[in-house]
This record gives sequence, C-alpha cells and structure tokens, in this order.
Amino acid sequence: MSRDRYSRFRKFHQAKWDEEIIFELSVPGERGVLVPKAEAAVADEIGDGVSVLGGLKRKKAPALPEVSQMRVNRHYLRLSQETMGTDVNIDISQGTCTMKYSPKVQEHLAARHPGIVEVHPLQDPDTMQGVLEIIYRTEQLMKEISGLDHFCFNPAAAPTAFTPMHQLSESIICHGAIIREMRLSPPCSPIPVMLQLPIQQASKSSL
Amino acid sequence: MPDENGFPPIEAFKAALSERTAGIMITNPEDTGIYNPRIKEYVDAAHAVGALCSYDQANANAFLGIARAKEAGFDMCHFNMHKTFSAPHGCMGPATGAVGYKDFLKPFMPVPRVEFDGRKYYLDYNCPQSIGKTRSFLGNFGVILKSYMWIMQHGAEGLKEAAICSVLNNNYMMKKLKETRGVVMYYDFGVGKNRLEQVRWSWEKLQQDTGFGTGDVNQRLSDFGIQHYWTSHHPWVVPEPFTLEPCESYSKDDLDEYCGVLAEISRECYEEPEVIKGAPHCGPTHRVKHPEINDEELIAVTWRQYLKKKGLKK
Repeated sequence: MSRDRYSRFRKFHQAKWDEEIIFELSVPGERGVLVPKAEAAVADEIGDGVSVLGGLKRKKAPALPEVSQMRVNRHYLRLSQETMGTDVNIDISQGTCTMKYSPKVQEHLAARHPGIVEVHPLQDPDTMQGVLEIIYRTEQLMKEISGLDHFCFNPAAAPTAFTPMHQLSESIICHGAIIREMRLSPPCSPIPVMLQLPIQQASKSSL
Repeated sequence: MPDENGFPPIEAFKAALSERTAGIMITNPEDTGIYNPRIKEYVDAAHAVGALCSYDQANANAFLGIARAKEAGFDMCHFNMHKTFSAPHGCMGPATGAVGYKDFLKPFMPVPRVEFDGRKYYLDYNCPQSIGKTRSFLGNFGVILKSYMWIMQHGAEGLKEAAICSVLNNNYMMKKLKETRGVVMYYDFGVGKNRLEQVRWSWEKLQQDTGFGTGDVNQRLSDFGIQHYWTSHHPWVVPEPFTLEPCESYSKDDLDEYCGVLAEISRECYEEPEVIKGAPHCGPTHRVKHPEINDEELIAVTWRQYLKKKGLKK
C-alpha cells in the first residue's frame, strides 16, 4: 500500500560537496599513473629523444591537472552525486523528450558484448555482418512502423531534424532549382517549417 | 501563430504556400499534445504546389502502431530513437535519428546505405545524387542496437500497448492536474479536450494570483527529488508553460507522486511564499544567476578562460 502522495512527501536532500574544479586539486608532481623512465643505458645511447623536434617542441608543459587516482575517483563520484539522472527520479518533467525506461539489458549488450564493442567501423564489412544485419533489420522494422520505403540511421541528435530539411533543399537543387530563402522555426513549434524557393527559379520540379 | 485550436491556421498556411515552396516539416501531435485531425489537408495543400512533406515524429510515442506517416501522405519522416525507442538521451550525445523516405527520394539519401544482396550485407556508397555523409562511419550504432532490442522485446502489439498506455497515463494526469490550483490548460475545448501523450500546461493563473511563475515552481521541484521540468520552445505560445509527458514507463503511484508534488508547490506559492523564494533548499546549488550562463564575459568553458576571466591568470 503506497503512502498518500498528496500529504506525505519525500525528505529528499541531495549531496552538496562544494567540490573544487579538478584543476584546483592539482599538486605539482602528483601522478595517477607512474610511467617508467627509460633505462640509463638506453638514454645514454639515444639522448633525450625529443631534441630532434627543435623549434617544434612546445615551450610550456600542457596545463593538465596533476592528481592521484584516488582523488580523481572521489572527485567524479562526488560530482555524480550532485546530478539528477533519469534512473533516480520520476522523469515525467521532460515533456517532448519521452523519458521512458531504458532497459539495462540493452546497456549490457551495447556496452559489453565483445561482438559489439570490439568492432571497428573501418574494418572490412565482410567481418561485421552482425552489426550490418542489425541495422538492416532495424530498417525493416521502421518501414513497417511508418509505412515509408527506406530508412537511414546516420543522423545524430540535432541533425535528426536537420537532415530532412537538408534533404528537401538538396532534392530540389538536383531538379534544377536553387533554394535561397529558408524560413526556419524551432522543431516541434506550432508553426510548420517551410522551405521557399526564389520566384525566378519556380520551375516546377518533377517531384 | 497558432489558431484558437492550437493548430497552424489552415488558410494562413495555404496562403504561404506557392510554387516557390520546396517543402514543409510539421509535427503531429504538437507539443501541446493535440493531434491535428486535419493533417492530410496540410499535406495535400503542400503537395498541390509541388512541395515535399516531412513529418517530425518527435511525439511518436502517442501513435506507435496506431497511425503511420504513409497514410497521412508524407514523403519523409523522422523518429528520435533516443525518445520513442527507449535508448538513453545521453546528455545530447549518443542520440540517433531514423529518417524515412518514400522510394522516389532514395537517390538522395545519405551514404553509406546498408544493403543485403541475399547472401551478405554490404555498404553502398554508389549513390551519385546522395546528400552525402551526415555522420562519421555508421552513426551511433549503440542507439540503433538498443532501439532494435526494445522493438523486438515489445513486438507489434507491445508497441501499440506502449502508445495506448502513454496516452492513458497522460489523461489520468490531466484529470489530476486540472484540479491543481493555479494550473491552466490551454485549448481545453473541442479537439483539444482530448490530448495524446503530453500536455503543455500553464501556470498563468498562479502567476496572476501569487506573482510566482513557471520558473519559480521549477526551482522548487528539485527539493522533492524531481528534476526541473521542460518549459517550452520559444516563443511561449502558452504563457508560463511547463510540458509534462508521463510515458508508459510510469506507474499510477509515480503519477500520483508527481501530481502531489505540484499540488504541494502550488499550495506553498499561495500560502508560504518564503519557501518558494528561497528554493531550492536541498540541492547542491542554489539558483544559477542567469548572467553567468548567458553573458559571454562570464562564461568559462576551459580552465584557461576561467583563469583569465576571473583575473587569476598566472
């Protein structure tokens, strides 16, 4: 039996670490990983190995934070406690974003399965048939869900909406007209986005 | 601007169309949660002048397995797989858009295309009229995989069930939130009485009564363990907006908790204004002063900028 949600509220309190910026934690000489120095016999034979760079050698060391592993670990765990992700709260708030539960088994396959994580996009397509099959099969599903004939999954985030816009313009350009005027409004706005052709190029496209 | 029903005025829309119009992109349902039942008229009107029609299916969770872009006459469409098909949003990082095309637009699709010759899968770059690459390599494969898994886990009936459940959840919340003092639901008549998967709400009445608007309520929300809500794209057609979408994942108890929190914050606005003025009280940061996130003189996105702008440069 759940409690009355209109009278008993959570005593929520988020962590507040007042954590420094990681650069402020830097202690000169401190290291997360100790890289072995070249053996004396090797250095005697070769020298410092970088003098050949001459003027290309940077004058100042990069301003990277010098921090131990333990401190880095603590730093980012503290920051993570100050966030409010979709897995800890009721994410009804993000209307238009459809913050549905993302099953964790998906994450295991996508982030851990060697058949997925060890595939390199530049390897021969013959050696990544499984990956290509999943993309192909997903396309078949999308076709059924929407009724359209072909799908691509290349665009990410913002280009999702931009690609069809670009597509509209490019498709028309290919038919002999030039798009000069673009009237854009934000995605999901109550005003439809329109692409307008200049008057002198108004020869009807065969589309 | 939208008409009194919240739709793009059809006559103004038609007046803006001409043989110069290359194409339109339109969302349905809108972020108001209202499904435009006359959508085909818009599409037909655009087609009549030779324009292409693209369907922004950002709100596809409302009609999965129920309505399709094809039947509404669209030439193109896109789904957000990080929304509708459950892959995480990843803080604006690993998202994926599935862009769909009718057959006659195939020559213009981005490359490479994944094709199957009956024996093996291959990447097809041989598309001379293609708009080219829109992303390196094959896009965000992890998101495609998660979406594929989600669809296969649900099956055709499951997708439809997700849509129905999200609409029912939203209508349950509507009933509860309409009883909350200070809340206004715009377009609450005719077609707008029935919403699909979300509603763009308004704290207009609350602001008139108490002076507290949507920004003030938003600040208090995190004190209850709920992240800030999304207000609206600009321009704010609905005043003092907040947009809630209780998709199929949430239980009745979750919906009740969310509505209970908003009712409590509304009560505080009317009865305990000091609580609202000081909020958030339980978060790691207090109100972020807007100049610091908007003023170019103050923004520091690198350590070097930070030192310089704070006058700490060594």
